[in-house]
Amino acid sequence: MGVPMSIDVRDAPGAGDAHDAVAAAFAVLHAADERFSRFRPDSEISRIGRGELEPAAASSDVRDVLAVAERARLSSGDAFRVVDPAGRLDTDGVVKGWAAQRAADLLLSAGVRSFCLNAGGDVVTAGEPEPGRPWQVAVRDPFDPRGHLAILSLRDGAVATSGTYERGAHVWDGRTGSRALDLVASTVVAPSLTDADVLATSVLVLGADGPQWAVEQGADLVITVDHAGAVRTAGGNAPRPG
Amino acid sequence: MRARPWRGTIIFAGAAVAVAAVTVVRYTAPSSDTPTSSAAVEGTHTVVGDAERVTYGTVQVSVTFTGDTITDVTTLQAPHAHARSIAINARATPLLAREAVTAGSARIDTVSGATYTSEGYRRSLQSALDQVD
Repeated sequence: MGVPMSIDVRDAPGAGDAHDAVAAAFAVLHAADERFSRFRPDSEISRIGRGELEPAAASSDVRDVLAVAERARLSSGDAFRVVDPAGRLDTDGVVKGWAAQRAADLLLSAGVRSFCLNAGGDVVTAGEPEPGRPWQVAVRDPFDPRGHLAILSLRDGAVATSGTYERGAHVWDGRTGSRALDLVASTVVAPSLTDADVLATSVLVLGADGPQWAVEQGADLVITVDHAGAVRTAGGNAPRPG
Repeated sequence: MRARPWRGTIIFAGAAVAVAAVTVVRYTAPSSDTPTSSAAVEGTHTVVGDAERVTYGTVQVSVTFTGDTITDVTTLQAPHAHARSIAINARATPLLAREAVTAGSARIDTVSGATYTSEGYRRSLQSALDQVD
């Protein structure tokens, strides 16, 4: 993964508690980065990929992630798959959200009441940054790194964005193996980042059918952008597709 | 003894792999009774990292310091950036919250975007930090 991460804490039991909780949250993310790395030959993911380790015999973390991935595969009709077109196991599409949500849960259990966690563009918020106002989460414009499509207001929730505009065609259609997708970006708001992350990736693959499908799967709001720059949405206060 | 409740802003920034975690303190509020106030602003300066070529284009970041601490990391260039950007009518964009964002409200706490995991991003960021050491 190797993602840049930030945690913005506004309300905690004590300043020392905030530091300890954040250190623990970063440790969760670091550990996941190592455990699920495809570039470390001795990681469980690499060993499973080489057939040296049966998934059922892997650590509970790996089994949890693979279970999330399998549920996503079934509900997306195979659009979301953690096996790439070359047959390699690649869990990046689910691990980032899963690990960041665990880090956020750790902050909550440590008594941190207000925070905004951003792990590589996936966001979890809790509480209010200042009394009386929600967190303001901007959604990046795929065509301008300093521009924004929208500003989302939320207190407790998660926002995940999947897109091809930074790393090119790293997302594939599990049904066909194709890396040519109609959408350049998708953003999903949901109660949990684990869900938002897999839904955002699935929507990117599903294209025009994605937003409504994701709302039916529990997304609060979906925003998509295609190659021509057209923006479509579902959920939230969006008009229902006709 | 239980620490007193703390309210303020502390931003912790880091990366899972390359960059060491840095703590940024923007404001301090000694107690929840005291209105949040911004600390005196020390000199801020922005360091621009190297432009790194990656498969799909160029990645370049800048890092803003207030005193010794990082207060912002901005992406200056990213692959697939077009001159044209999408104009969105704020009123037409549905929002999650029940209350509407007031027109012109530009306050942003964080940005959700496609993952900046490229090696080029890390190298550009590290090159900016290296200029300060």
